[in-house]
Amino acid sequence: MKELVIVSGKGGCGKTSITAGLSILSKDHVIVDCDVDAPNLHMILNPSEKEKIEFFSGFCAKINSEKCISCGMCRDVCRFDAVEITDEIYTIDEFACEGCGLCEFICKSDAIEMFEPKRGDWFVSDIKNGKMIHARLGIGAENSGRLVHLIKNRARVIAKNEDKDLVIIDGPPGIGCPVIASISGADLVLIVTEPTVSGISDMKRVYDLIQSFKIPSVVVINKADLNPEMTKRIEEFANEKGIKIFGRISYDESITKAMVSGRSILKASQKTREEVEKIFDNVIESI
Amino acid sequence: MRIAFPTKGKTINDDMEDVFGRAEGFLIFDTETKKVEVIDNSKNIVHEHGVGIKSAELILSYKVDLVVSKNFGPKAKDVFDASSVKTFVTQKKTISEALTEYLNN
Amino acid sequence: MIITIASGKGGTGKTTVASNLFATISDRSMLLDCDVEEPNSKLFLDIPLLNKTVVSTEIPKVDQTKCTLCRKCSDFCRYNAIITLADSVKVYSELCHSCGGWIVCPENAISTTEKKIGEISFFGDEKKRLIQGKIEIGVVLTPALISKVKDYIDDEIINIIDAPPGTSCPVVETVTGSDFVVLVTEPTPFGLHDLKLSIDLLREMEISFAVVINRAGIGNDDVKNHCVGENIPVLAEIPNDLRIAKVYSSGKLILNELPEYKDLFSNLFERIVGLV
Repeated sequence: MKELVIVSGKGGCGKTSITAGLSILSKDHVIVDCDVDAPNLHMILNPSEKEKIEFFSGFCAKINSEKCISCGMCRDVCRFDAVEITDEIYTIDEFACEGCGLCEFICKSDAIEMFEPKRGDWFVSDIKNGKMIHARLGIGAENSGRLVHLIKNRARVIAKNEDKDLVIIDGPPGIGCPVIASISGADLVLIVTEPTVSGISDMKRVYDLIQSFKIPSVVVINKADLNPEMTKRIEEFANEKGIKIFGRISYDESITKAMVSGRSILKASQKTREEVEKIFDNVIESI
Repeated sequence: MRIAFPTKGKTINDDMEDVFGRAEGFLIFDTETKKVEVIDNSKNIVHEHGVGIKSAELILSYKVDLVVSKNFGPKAKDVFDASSVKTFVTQKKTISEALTEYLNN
Repeated sequence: MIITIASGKGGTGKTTVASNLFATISDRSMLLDCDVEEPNSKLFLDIPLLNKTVVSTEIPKVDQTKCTLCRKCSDFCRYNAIITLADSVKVYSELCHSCGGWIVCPENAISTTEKKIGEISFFGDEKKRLIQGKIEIGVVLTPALISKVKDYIDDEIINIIDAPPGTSCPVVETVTGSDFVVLVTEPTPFGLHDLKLSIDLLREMEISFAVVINRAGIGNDDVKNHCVGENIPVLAEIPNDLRIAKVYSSGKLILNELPEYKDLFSNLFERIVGLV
């Protein structure tokens, strides 16, 4: 079983569109949408939900107002400014609370309790050519790194039990903890970038992160003909670091138009389709 | 010698888990008394980060001399190295196979 | 005044709006780049670097001679950043959230030391001021760095904040305290889906906001209809113009390269002020 992760550093590079294209081209596989903060993959792959699992994670403090003597000790020790006072009633701002538990420790009147809040739900679903695992977080919910780990683990179990050779992971943007959780244990990371100054800058940062985990990575240039000079800069960077370029996708408004009408990148134009197929062939060959 | 293995099982004929840090439990085998002890790790694996460290800490508290696993995360390895607990990497499926492999080496 | 430019989905034009809006009113404003994982505003603005400051956070340091291996610290730490070994206690700084929990030590064996989490860079000339946060690669304390960048907010002038994308903790940290949030989106199903997540977040946080539609014309009217239905003002529509994409790709401002869009950004500013 092989694990392919698609990341981009910068959002809006076409990562999800390309991931969906690769998924549709694949044989029986498991696909995971690890972009749990803003999941979009389900809008193209139309999964039918088979199982829903509630997700509780981290900790959050709660003040029992009956026991609280308003001494203010909790507020003094909290480094996250999560303790609020209104009319001498102490409460916890759940958005700000990091769940460290120091207020619970310091409270002399046993008025603070830590609880594990519900952060969202995740789903195991069927798609045409396999299984899909995806999630929905609650408003302002944090801790997506752990959720990424949970859903990835489930994908591995399914792949193992059902003899599927490939797990495809749509990674989140950025270089933070959900990205780290997404790429850990991967066999190959595909970095989608675009020939823009931001695209290049973010590609370099995500590349450094992947390198620090010693995972092999390759690059795909989306909107490759938008700015030839910037495309050249990406190629130079790739050359210098010895990163293979697995494909180029030309700028084509029909890609967005396909997405607007709920169709995949493969239905955009014949040229685009061939470009995605080439990336797919390169991926399959290398893993 | 006391040897720990990551596993969901209760006997040495059971399979080992693939990832050390996220194992649901551990089995400790004492080579002198031939006794088996099972420890529960489910409390540790719910953490978002540092599960390998926490699992290693739990094992340390059971005074083992050696840990056998298919792999170790860098932090778990670090904890064992710092505590002079030996580690042994195996590709065997079951605990008894891995044990035999280690003892034969 | 604090105006934050945010978006549920990355790559919708958040930085484009932030940098062009800032350039429109740079004589009265300052730009703070709080997208500390991928700070890109500077790429569009030609402002010299004045100085840099390292942002550190406190992490525990254990005096092994005083430590009795009682485990109180490692039992307390919910992030698994401190661990009791057979004969010592070890700190894993990359997992530490700097919560101050080291006070649980009954032996007073824990003091603190500094650990770098990122940098804040100050750019400026006679006309413009930009403050940019940048997180160290592999560090999880994004909200802590954002909070430090926000310490430089100047109440006397207009502060424009470039927020990280999404709706998770760094975004919550960034938009907290804003007078107004501009949500940048695209007229596509992805754009609408992620816009709804942002709207939910801002309503929950009780922060007023409005929408700017980027690449208007490429998709459908669902975003606009949704805003009308929900009574959310659409402050501006930036047309789907390939020239804009090219200007952006080279790291230039629309304002300078395509002057016909100047009015769009000054009108946007006027409309924001009208709503604050």
